[in-house]
Amino acid sequence: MAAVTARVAACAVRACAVVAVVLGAVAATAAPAAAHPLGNFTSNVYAGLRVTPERVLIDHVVDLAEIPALQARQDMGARGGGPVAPEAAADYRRDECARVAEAITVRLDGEAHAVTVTGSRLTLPPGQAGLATLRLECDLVVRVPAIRGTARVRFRNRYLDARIGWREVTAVGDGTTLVASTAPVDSVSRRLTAYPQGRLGAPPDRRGATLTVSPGGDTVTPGARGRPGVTGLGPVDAWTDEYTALIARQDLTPAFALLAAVLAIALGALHAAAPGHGKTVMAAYLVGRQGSARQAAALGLTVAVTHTAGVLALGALLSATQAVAPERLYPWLGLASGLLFASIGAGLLRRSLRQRHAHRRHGHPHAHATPPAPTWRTLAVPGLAGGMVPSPSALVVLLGGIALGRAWYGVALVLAYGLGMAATLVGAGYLLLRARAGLERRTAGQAWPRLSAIWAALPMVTAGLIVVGGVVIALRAVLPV
Amino acid sequence: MPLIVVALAGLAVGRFVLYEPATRPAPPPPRTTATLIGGLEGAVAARPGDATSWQQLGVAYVRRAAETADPTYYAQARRALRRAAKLAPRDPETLLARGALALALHDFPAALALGSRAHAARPLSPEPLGVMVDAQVELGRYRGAVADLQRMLDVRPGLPALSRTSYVRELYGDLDGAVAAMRRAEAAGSGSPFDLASVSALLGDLHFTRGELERAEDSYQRAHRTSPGLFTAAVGRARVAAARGHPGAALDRLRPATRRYPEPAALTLLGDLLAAEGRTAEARRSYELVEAVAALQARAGQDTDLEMALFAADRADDPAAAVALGRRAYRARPDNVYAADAVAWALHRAGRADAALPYARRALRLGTADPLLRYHAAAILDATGRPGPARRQLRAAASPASWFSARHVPDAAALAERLGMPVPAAWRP
Repeated sequence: MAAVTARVAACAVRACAVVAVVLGAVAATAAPAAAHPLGNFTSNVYAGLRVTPERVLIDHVVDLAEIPALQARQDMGARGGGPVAPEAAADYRRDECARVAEAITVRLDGEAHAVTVTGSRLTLPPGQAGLATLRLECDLVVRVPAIRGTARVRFRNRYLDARIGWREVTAVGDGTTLVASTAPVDSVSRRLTAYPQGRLGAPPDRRGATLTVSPGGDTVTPGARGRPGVTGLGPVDAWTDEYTALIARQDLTPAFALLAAVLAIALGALHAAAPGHGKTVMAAYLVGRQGSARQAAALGLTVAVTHTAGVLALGALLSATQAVAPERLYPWLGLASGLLFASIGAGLLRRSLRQRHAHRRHGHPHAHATPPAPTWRTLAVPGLAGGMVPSPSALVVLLGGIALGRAWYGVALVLAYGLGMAATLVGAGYLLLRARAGLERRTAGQAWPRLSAIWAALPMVTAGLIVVGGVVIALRAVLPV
Repeated sequence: MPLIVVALAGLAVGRFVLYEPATRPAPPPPRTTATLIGGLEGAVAARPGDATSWQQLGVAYVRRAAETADPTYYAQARRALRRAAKLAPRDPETLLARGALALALHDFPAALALGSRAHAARPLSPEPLGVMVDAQVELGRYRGAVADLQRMLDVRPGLPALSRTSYVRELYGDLDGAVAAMRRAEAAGSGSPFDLASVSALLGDLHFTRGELERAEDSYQRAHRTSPGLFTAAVGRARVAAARGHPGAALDRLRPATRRYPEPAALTLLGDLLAAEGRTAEARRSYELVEAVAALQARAGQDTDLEMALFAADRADDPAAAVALGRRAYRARPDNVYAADAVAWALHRAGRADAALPYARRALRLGTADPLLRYHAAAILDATGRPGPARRQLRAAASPASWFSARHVPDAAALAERLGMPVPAAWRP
């Protein structure tokens, strides 16, 4: 358990963010005691940075353990551990957030900018020995000149820096891209709400961050304040997140297992419908090579099988060793997949060029350049290329299962996920073929020389598309986007 | 005697010959207890069946508790050592680690038993003897403690043995000898900056008791340099400032120190200084923190009856509760001079000086040179109508001419005046 947590803390891809959430939920149910896990004397500080093109938003959380909380309550005028007057609490909240703002410096390309408080919340969650703890959340904003080109943001937090405790900084781009960052994307303590066991003795001690920011990038859904640092969560991945959290919570009754499997199929289907998997490229392949319905099915199945096998292999690798970080692996897999596609496309292009040349020379008035029907073997290669990058969400489903001590269940869910993917891909391929057949029928009887010329050029165009698509996939994998 | 001089001279020459100027590469960053714990937590997660890692983790938690005064780490230590004991119940290192934890939690009979078992397995190792010495001192078995301490010194006369020697000498009223031993302990050094700094701070305390404020301050500053932020040193410097008649400076030192390490003795001193300044509301807040920390310590399994008995006797409105705490402390450490003093003082504050007297006599039986102990005895003797012995004890309390307590020095001065004694300069406001 602790080993898994440590690894999750070390990886910063989206997938791992969700795993951390799942494990956090498990840890929370395993240790429901109200104890402050980190020490009764600790003052713990978290700052979550979100860099938008014109401002830096800081989600600042202070979690005081029992004794510092009592000292703070005394500052608010509470007597004998008794209640705090609402006005005193409001004063404290305002004053302390102002102090936080004073203790923070944000520099954009060396120039410091004013930190202002836009909101604050104060709660006193119960702690040990009948004492309360204290949680103060301050929303801060730093307006900066619009980021153009690449900018360097330096963040320092000196709030309560002489105290002992857990100090964390995370950073994420919102409409900007963090080209480089010394801070992680995710909070391992989930904003000081769930301290991972096994790191209590040596808590993180991060007091600043240096970010290299360029404009443009995913935007973070507003209102997702509770989950900072998770950039670019598409709707599918958000659902995966909910789903894994659901599995983690429930006891495994047969009915629930069935429901989970059905949901996994649905997730897989949805995931396959989202952009990716070289679907465009595969569609081009099918259309260009005059595939049959059986071949469309074969292609879709190959992608699903390769993908499922890839997820299982990566999952096994991740749970067997800590030496592999998925975020290191993904670019390489993406690069390999892209290059494979590009070479497939290049092969097709060469062949269609040769055929076209041959037709011209023989002078056959041939409307359709009919390449030989693709065989299973020629289909397996693009299938492999399309499925070789495991989707983070499937990996999360699997790792979630392993983390819960139900590895077989995770495997079963990944298989169900693959099934859903296959259904979507096969269905999509079939629809595509039907559409092409319809188009052909309609244009068959008409003498449109131009159209037939386009028709003749189609294999070349699709082959070119596959090359371009492959290059794009490869470049996206290698360049930080 | 000439032999010793020659030996010392030889050592000095040897030190000079072997002295290496700072040409060595910079030492690696110090291995703090926090990083040690981090590594060990990883080790036990990777190999949960490894008794050694659990045992070392337990020891590291006990150290961390000592460094931060945070009782949470005791619960963690107990959890780790329980695992270690389950995996390797007879391992001497595990027994030793459990003994150290029992000491920290003030379960002295258990500490003595565990230390003795570890000693039986490793008779030539100084650490089990150290646990046995500490347990016997706390249990009031001073003769046994001295015998084991001698063995410990024979095995290895390093910082652990020498600092204990200093404490035992102090208990027997030999302040000069205590200072000498603590100096040697400091000179012996330690791989742990925290241990070394703690010894410097203890040396500062001894100088303070002797009224040597300059030397005390030097020692505390040395401790602070060795281990920045060491709270015993911060408290010591605050006491020096207070003794010099600068309560403002003392408060300035104590406030940040207690915010960082809300250790009960430091908070009590803070409260007493505030109370002496007439700032009762702030003093009460400080005392409230002491009680909260004590509740957390109790929850972590630490017995603080002795400390809380004195605290309650002087500062709470319930003298009967203080007496009950004192009696419990005395049962836990039968014949320990400080436990006897706590019962005596609690009884005296509850208006039962006659019942207190036998305990006060037990508390003085070693001749301990602690001004607070002497003042307590003087007040009890005076209350039971024995002005002669009371005067003698008060003179003993005043002999090092030290300012020993923000709370009690004004009372001690008043008592001296009533008994027709000259009031020492250090006690005058």
